[in-house]
Amino acid sequence: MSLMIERTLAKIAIRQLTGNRKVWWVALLALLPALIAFIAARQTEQSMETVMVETSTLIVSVLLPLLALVVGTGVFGAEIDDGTIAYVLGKPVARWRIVLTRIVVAGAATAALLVPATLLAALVGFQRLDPDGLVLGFAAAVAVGGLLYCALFVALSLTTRRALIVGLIYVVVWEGSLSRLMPGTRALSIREYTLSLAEALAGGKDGMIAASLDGRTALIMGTVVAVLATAHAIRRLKRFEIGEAV
Amino acid sequence: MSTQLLESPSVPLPVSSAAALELRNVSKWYGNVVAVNDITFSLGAGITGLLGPNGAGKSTILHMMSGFLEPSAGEVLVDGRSAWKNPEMYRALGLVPEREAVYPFLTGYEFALMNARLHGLADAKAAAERVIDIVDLRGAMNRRIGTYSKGMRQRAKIAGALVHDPRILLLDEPFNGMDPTQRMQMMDLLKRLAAEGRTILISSHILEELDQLANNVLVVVSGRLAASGHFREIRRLMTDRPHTFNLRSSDDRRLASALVAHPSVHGVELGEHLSVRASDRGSFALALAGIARTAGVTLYELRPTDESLESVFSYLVKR
Repeated sequence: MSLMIERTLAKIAIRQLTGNRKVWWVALLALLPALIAFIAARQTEQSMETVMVETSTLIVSVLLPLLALVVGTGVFGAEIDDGTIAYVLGKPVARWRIVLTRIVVAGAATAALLVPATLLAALVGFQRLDPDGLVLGFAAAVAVGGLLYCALFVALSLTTRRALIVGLIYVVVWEGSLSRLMPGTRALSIREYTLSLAEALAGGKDGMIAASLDGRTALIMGTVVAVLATAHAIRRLKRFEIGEAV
Repeated sequence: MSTQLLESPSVPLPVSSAAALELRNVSKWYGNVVAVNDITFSLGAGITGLLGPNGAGKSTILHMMSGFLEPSAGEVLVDGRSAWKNPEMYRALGLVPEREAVYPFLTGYEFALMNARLHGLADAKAAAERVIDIVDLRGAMNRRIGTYSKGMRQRAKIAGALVHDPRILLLDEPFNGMDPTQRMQMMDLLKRLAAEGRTILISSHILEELDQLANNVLVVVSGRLAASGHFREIRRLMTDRPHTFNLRSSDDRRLASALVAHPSVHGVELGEHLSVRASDRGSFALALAGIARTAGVTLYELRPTDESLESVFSYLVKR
């Protein structure tokens, strides 16, 4: 047993995710950026930079939260639904270790799907992997953003049986609509943290990524959100009740 | 544990000095619905049956003992320590949940191994191998649980519960889906485990399942502890109660007059059907055909009216 992650629990979570048809359907969407870049490179009259800005927006605003939502709510959701959570909770394993393992697995799974998709889109669009360190910086920010989203969605899955719907409302209404109408809400938006980190890591080259927070603030705010979400998830799991029907 | 029927649910049972499991005035409610109502008992080594009709509160009691539900009132103690929010207690506790689902993508061996590793056993592989043999799953140990029959899944669940050699076992309807041979094997195994000094609690809604297994029985009806004590005594109370049958025949009146002379018949009532109350179901059933033949009456239908478990348990509560 390593210090933080329970390996057996991680393996179970990975096998659950790979057996989840919903995850594979959303994972297919991860190919979309590469497809757009491929078509744009041949047919559009817009500059490739403009196309790649659109593609990066698609990755951060749509694919990342959607994939993290399905994966993050799935690492506990399936077990809660079918009652197999009893085999995890009925063990002398600290609850914080269970939660942390599941968040890390979900974050890693999200990154494993989206980081290669990002690199592939860049390769297709720019005809080379990483002009000026831009793509690697962006991909690293996507990986961190995935982890933040997963912490939030794992906590949500232990809070409500309608985690998928509530998570979707957060992504579409809070991060999508409200952040446009009320820019102040961006201070509490994982999408904004991801974009700000991407801008900072990519060095803000050519204004391709436009974010409202500086990288340091985004990192601090993101860490606070992740820690709070994780602490809430641990607290929920400690008090988690398996009902009569289970 | 003495045999008794409980007039009041709050009457405590004798508390064993070496109680592995103990409930002290435990209640559980969901809003206005009371699932478990002020139950007190304690259990030591041996097999105890937790009996009651579906929805009586057996699973709620087991879930509270398993640390999966917080009691609304009272205390649930495992080895003298609260079961709620106490993961360390699982080192001494093995659980077989009622729900059928087991990770379908794991093989039987992988499931046992997973349980062994989560218990932090030093030689998890050896423990998994050992328990696979105990539940007789060696031939199917490398098949995915998703392909198992219901009985095999039950055995895989029991393997997972036994892998760390627990001193206390809680089994929720463990014989579901098992064929008679598998049941016998499982009963032998549980008897062996009990003889080694373990505390085993088995819930069931089928009286006969516990017949050869549990010496002590706790009967739960509508969330209350209705009776507790030696199995045979409870069984006698259940079977000695009057049984009511509805009969249809070629001549109900003549059959009624013939039946009323038989010692096993308490009373008859003529209406749409001929209703007969018998004190002893066995001797009445044996005598009925002969009585009808002697009276020259043809029997068309014989239907017991109150054989549901709910009515049996209700009888116990009313006593």
